[in-house]
Amino acid sequence: MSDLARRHLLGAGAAFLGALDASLAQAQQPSPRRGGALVYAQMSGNRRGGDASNSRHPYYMVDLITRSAYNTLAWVDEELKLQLELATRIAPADDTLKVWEVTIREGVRFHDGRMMTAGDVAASFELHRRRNFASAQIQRTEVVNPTTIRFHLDAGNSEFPFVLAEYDCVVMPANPDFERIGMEGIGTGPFRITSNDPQRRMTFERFEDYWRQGFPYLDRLEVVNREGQTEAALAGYRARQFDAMLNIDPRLIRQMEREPQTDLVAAASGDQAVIILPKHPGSAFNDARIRRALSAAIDREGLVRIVYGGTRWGWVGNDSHLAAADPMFVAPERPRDLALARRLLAEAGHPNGITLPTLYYAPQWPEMARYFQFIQESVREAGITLPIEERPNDGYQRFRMGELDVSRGNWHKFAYTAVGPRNPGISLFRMRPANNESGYWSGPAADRYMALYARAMLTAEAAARRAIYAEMQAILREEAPAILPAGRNNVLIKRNTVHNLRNHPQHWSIRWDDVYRSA
Amino acid sequence: MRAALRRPAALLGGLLVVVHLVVAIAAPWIAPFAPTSLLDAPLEPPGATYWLGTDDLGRDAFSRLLWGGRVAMLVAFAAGAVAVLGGALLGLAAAYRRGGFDDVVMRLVEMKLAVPTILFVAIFVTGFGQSVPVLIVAVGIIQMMGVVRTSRAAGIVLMEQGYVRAAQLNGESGLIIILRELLPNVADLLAVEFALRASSALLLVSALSFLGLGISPPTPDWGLMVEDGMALLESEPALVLAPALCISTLVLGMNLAAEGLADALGLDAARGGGG
Repeated sequence: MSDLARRHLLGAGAAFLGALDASLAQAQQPSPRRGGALVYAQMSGNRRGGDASNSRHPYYMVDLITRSAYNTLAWVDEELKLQLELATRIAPADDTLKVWEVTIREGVRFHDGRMMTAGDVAASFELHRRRNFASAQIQRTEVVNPTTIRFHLDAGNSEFPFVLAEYDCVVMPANPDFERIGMEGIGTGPFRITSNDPQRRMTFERFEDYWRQGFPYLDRLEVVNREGQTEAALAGYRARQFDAMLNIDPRLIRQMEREPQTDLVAAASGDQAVIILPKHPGSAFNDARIRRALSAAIDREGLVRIVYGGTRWGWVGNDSHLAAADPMFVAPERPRDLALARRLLAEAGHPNGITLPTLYYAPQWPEMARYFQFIQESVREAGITLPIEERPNDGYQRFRMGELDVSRGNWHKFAYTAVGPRNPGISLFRMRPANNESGYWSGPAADRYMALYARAMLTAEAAARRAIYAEMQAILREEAPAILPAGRNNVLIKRNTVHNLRNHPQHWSIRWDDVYRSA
Repeated sequence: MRAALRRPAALLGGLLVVVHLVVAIAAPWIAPFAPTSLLDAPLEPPGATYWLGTDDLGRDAFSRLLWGGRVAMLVAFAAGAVAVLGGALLGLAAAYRRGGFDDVVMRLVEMKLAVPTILFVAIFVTGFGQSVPVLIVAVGIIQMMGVVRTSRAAGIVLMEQGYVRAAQLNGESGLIIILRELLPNVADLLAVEFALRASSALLLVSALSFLGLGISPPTPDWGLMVEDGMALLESEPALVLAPALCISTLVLGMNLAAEGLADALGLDAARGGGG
């Protein structure tokens, strides 16, 4: 039997066993029932939790899982595919892809009993286009009729429907003062906000007039913020204070696999770390050879193996914002090349190695201290000394971003931020020169990159965009404006009496509509 | 010192401190592996190669344990020195000047004591980073407040002594009187204060590292090791218990030694001291 045939046979066998396992699991799952409450601990350091004045607003909710109380026009599902939510149709009005027409679902009510209209959608996007980075391209909205709205963009965007699925871009009741929109915490989501203790806790109850009839199943939902408190959350879980823990530390996985009456639910991917390489005057990272040497020296596969526990729980990045689970992702051919790293360093005038400035990180995810310690050790083999320093989560963003007024000399830092997976259009746009995540990258390669991006945005066919995206990723590998070595697969744990709680690569996009409890 | 060592508890304390100091100094030569080297699979069980197993990055836990007291002891002793020197000078100056200066110093001390220790360090670290010098200054300031009160109290008593009066009548400056007449006469007290403050500083540094506000990874540190191992306490207890035991024995040793020293000097500071 040829290798190919054997592989096919093995593949078919594995697929059959997988399908059998899934159908058995399905058969074992009790049928959905209404009632009960679910309390979960959230572990991510999102740093956006608000205060008493705004923490019901979707931008400042304690865990960013806004879909408990709100809906967007579209939703990205667990496979990162677009699904319609409050929209029933999203289509370009013409071939320029600059105007998009959206038909909204009829009969949708807000938590205060009002019917949702196209006017509410337009008002909500007046806020979003000023505040959300992905919506900034919306020049204006036009209400065509009570159920149709047009979005006028500053340039064509073939992936605009994904912008409408961004978690910030929820639909809220209109308010003449757009600054007040969302402050009351009124949405169209499956649950109504009943109380909130800013940055600590939020409680919800079922919204009986939810547009998805028969949903949600749960009577009550409660989120408790346990960011950076793994041990406390684990103790709470074991004491049955929590029914689930979202985004657990990967090193707990082995332990949790043995935890009684507990299921581990992994997402197909999750956040990855962007190592931001500042290119201000005097920075070593102005030299692309040093950036690339650092990128080539990192043992990415080791990082996934040691920090995440293997490829089931983590993945190797390619220095772009795309996640490995994205169909457009191009895996790096040689994730680590020490000879190349040493050669580039020598060419850059550092034949005996280089000491880089201090890399500052904060434990936004529980594994980050281990992540950067591993990187520090792995690049040492290429002659790169990489000092690292942990900073507290509080104030980290302001610290690493520096001051906008660069004349003060407080430039942004050699630091990191966590980013979640999105569609290629949004993900690859994040490496634009004017963004901190690219370290304010500039030059001919950056220009070429942005020209390709503009072309992709005007290319309606997804298949045709693939080649452009591949070329953009090749530029990022070659230039390394920032380094994205590896990412996590989000993992949650839950009691086995909780059903249909599906994990999501975008930890903010988990849905609670379908979750139910058995007795 | 000899009188102190005749007390069994003090002798035990002194021995514990000496053993820890020797191990910390000799760590580069006696540790089987470099403390930050990634050697093997994470969480290997204890065995012949890795006596305490490997940690969650595959580093030798025993080597890290041997290295783990170096930075904490450095910070503790340096902070103890900052606290004793700064606190003694401030306290004695307040005792010498009295009046408005004394009031200002003591109100500042009370204000500082009213701020929770962890909050104070968190603000300090957020503003200045988590480097060793920053930790020494932050912990030194925290420990200093107790020394100010103790040395001020001792200084007030000394100010009534004839030789201080004589120095004043001779026209000696305040600084000379503080340095020549008061400071040497509180040296015993300060020696005990140093031992106590260093011990307290060590515990504080370990606690800060445990909370993520102290020594920054990958520096091997007992407090950090306890923090790292906490989530794995059930499956890998040695990763927590070994560094915790080191912290306890060192702090216990320092306290016993301080108490023995205080007894030998006829002071009761080791049983009281503010702050």
